[in-house]
Amino acid sequence: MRVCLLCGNCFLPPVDLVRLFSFQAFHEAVLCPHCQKLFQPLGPIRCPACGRSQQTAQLCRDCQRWEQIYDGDLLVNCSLYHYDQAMHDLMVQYKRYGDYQLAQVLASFLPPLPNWLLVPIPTSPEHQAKRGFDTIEAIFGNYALKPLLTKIPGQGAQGMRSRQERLEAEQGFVLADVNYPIYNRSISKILLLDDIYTTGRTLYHARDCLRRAFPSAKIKSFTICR
Amino acid sequence: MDELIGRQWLANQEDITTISTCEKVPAIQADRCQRCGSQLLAYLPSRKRYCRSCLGIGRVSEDQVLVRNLATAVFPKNPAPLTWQGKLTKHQTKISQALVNNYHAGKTTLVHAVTGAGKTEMLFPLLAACLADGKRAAVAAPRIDVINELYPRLAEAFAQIKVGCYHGKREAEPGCEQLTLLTTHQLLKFYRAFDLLIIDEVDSFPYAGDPMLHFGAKNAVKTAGVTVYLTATPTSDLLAEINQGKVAKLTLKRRFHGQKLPVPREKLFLRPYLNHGRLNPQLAEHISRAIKAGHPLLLFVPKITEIPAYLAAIKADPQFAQLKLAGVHAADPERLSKVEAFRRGELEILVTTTILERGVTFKHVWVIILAADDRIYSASSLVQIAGRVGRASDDPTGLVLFCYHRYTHNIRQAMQEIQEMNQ
Repeated sequence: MRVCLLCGNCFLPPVDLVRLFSFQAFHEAVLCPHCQKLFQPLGPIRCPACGRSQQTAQLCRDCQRWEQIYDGDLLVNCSLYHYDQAMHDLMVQYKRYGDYQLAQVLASFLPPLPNWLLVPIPTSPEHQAKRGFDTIEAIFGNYALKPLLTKIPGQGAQGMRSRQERLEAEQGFVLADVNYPIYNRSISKILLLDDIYTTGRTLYHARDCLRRAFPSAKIKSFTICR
Repeated sequence: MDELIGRQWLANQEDITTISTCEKVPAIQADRCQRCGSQLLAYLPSRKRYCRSCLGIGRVSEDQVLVRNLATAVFPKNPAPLTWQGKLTKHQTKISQALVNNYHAGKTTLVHAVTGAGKTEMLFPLLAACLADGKRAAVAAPRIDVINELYPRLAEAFAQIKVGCYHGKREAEPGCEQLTLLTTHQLLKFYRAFDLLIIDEVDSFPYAGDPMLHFGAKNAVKTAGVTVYLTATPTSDLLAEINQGKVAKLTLKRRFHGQKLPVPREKLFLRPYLNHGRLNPQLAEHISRAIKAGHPLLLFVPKITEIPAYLAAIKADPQFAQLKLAGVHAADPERLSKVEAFRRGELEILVTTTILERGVTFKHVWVIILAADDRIYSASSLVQIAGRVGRASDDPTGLVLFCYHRYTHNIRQAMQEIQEMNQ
């Protein structure tokens, strides 16, 4: 018997014998089947760049704009869930109210990530001090993360801005530590990790920043919701 | 600092500001959150614990303290704070007098009054007795809608008194008004603040069955203060306290117009309410009867997701093609305007979830509850929904229809309660 982290009800996690005997690590269920159903996975037809779920498999309008700005060099992003009301409520509870336990819920959504260099999008130091944890690192805590980026302090949160303000936001990241030994190695693949892909502004900025250190690396991104 | 009299708030341990009237307690003590009483604690990466229950009003964690301002607010005495000119009926006067007596005797009281009894007016003399002494009073309810409806009425009835109104949709932090209206969640921000605390609709979600809100309510009232509970359907925990003699009970069985409650009709449906997007003919018959009689109709459905299907089915029926209808639910951004349009008679049918089960009055309205056997309807919800009908003195009857596939305990209990109050 387990207690659902969202509704607090008791439930029996489904037993999957194949998975049980696969001897591979898996996430123990933290949500009851009812709460699990609240979250809608993205549909099969998606924008080839940002992963938005849509009617046709063509480049979405946002990405067409990015294509112009970045001269065809699009960031390929993969996401799992719709950013709908249920996901919004979960994120509000997790990020705004600081319910650290919910990192387990978000972590339970994660698929196995590829063996690339995993770079989390950083939280501003002010927010981190206030919450007592880093929202992204807490979710992806089971993976070996390389926090190569730091946020320039005093810029406020993306979530508090309008769409237009987000798009016009300035580059908010700097490389963490220039003497980090990793910069001497040749890195071929980097995966940026974030919780929400809204306009793409944050992730494109993060990529710009990493490009300077790893000019030849292939950089993609992964977010939980789109 | 006077603003914060009777309040409790979070501060960091190193916060050294001290006010002589304030006490500091560790925010989490003896495995319990001291603000909400919950034991639902979880760990932060720092190995400090935090409370998951009352997160919404600011996270309580182990390295913090709760600062409580224990000063007593002093208000001028005012021999006649009540500016309301209306008159109470004979039944209302009796209850109202008993409430004032119980208040002076320091007795916690439960008022069990039928829906549409005019509970708010009965409170006026009680509140006046408290405010006249220069004491501090609060009226709390679990739902924001109820508070929003009460606020203008109380502000008008006590025109010379400063009235505060606080809930999650208002940004303002509570101040120190002599009369405060607030949701039961906001009570968690107070500590030993009120001489009189009235909690309306104690049987309703989320107050009923939430130990955190009960804890908050107990803490918000002064040790020598008096609590008054109002309900149309007392919950079992309150009934138990009445039996133990901890709470006095006052019962009012008649609506303000002196008429009995409309008794719901029960109807067994063997076929689904909707079949391939078409209304069940019997259901259509009932709807058309209400419309022909010229009554606006509230159609209760158990789930938000079912609203569009019913709207489409009604629109698809040729006999209802001319009707204006809408659906409304808690997360609907146009909720207030739709309810207002229905109240003005611009909509004939309003399909709704339980958000309109209580605290709202529509003239001449009739009610159909679809799937009254659904788990979402507690006995108290059903009694409340039935209580929307026949509230006007010139139209004290009307149709309440419980549609069900399976007769449930809750339906039976609701019917019994209504019939009991009608005796």
